[in-house]
Amino acid sequence: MSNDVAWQVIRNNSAFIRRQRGIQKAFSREPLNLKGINSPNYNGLTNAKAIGVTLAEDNKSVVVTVKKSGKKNLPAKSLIKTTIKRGGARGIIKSVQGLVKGRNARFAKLAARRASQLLRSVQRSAKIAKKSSA
Amino acid sequence: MAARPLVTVYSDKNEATQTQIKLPAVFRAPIRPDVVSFIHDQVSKNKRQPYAVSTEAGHQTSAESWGTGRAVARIPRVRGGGTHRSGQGAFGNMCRGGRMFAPTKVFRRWHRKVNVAQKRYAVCSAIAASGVPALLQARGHVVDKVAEIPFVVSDKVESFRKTKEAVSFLRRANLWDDIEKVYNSKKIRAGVGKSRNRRFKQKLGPVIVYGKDSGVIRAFRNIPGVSLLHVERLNLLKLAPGGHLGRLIVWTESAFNKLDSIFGTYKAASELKKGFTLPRAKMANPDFGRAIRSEEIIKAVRRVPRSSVKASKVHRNPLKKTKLMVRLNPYSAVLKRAAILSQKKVQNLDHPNEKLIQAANAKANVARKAKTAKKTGKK
Repeated sequence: MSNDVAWQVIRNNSAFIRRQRGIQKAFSREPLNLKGINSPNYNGLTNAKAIGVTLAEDNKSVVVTVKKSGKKNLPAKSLIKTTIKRGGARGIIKSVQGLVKGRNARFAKLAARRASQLLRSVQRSAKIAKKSSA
Repeated sequence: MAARPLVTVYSDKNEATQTQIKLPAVFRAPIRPDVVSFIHDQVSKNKRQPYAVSTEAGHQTSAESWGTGRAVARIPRVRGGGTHRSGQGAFGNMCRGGRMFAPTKVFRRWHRKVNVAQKRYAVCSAIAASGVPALLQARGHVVDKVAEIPFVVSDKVESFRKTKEAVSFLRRANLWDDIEKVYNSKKIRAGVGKSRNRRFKQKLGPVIVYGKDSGVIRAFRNIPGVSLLHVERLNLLKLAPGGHLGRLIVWTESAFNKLDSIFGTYKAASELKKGFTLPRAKMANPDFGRAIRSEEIIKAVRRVPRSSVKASKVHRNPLKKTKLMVRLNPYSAVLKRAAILSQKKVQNLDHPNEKLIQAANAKANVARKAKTAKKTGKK
């Protein structure tokens, strides 16, 4: 089935959609949605070249998830996950951008921004934890 | 249409076997959420039981209106005396103890006749949707680690007799994540249903479609969220619960093999369903990107030449931009020059001392330049 048809089916009826009163936009929580917005451009399920950026478990590195082409019907094999560890926050962000640029240039900056946001959120929470313990 | 892809059959231990089956044609049926949700709604009405209030309720009194002239409303009033009830309004839906408005009747139209062709269409659609991982995930199934969609297992599963075997199969096939989701979702129902034997609500797991029951039903039926269906008796209510497409289906090999004969292919009619052929999609190529770039469309589309698009002109003020002014009035250059010269005269810039000042400035400039040159040279 084409991705366009799949999007039409999912558009208003998906387990990932989150709506909130007072906010016109619908959010979406698929793992491969870079912006977290329910839209055909960013939808992680129906885009063949969707890209995911998440924090790794150690809260210091970033995992970039990329879809493999031609493995659409083999969920267990359809994703490639790359953990980027080295280079400090700035280095990680840069290499995320480079990695994504090779896959889907459209998302390179967005992925970098997301990585930066994720890393910053961890830093901030670490700082708060330090303060409260001191 | 492209050649039908092959689907691998997996063993009960989740190893890919040598057997591969051509994807049944039903999986190419158009996916129509509108049809499915409508038919689901209709079919789901057929399990209802009638309910109604007593036909007598609110009418078991001999009340009659007092008529006008007694300074009370003309509603029927209960006769007699000696009790609080006498003189109270009766019958009306606005009265205490009166009948309800439009009392419910047992002869309401509870059930619906559903067009067989539409039901079949909906079932085909639901099956087709079950072959698209994106739709399964959108429905909330956890299929990240499942080997293949549609997931087909060898017939050994059909002869499972013990739930223990079933559980270990589901674990090995990485379908247990979906069952785990069911366990975690168990919640007490909101509303009165709690006291009507529907105390808990939970999500739904996979449906197992078998060709022959040699114990599967008993093996699987106690696992929460799992439903079981025979291929020849597929039920839309189970394939698309809530009218939402994309239930996770586990097919046994024999069941999967039967699909082509049950629903037919695009070349042959169904063997089991009389006069039924698979619904066809309205569009041969529903991929928008490919369609818009296709030769036919490119040919038909009128191209707007790039050069004909002109940037809009920016209007500038000639009084401020000298060049523009000169273009409009060539004499303005002369006027401006004269103005500058006359101003110099007024400011006394022709004074002999002025020349000395200029010379000093120039000297200082040269010195500064030399200094910077030395600096860069050092580097």
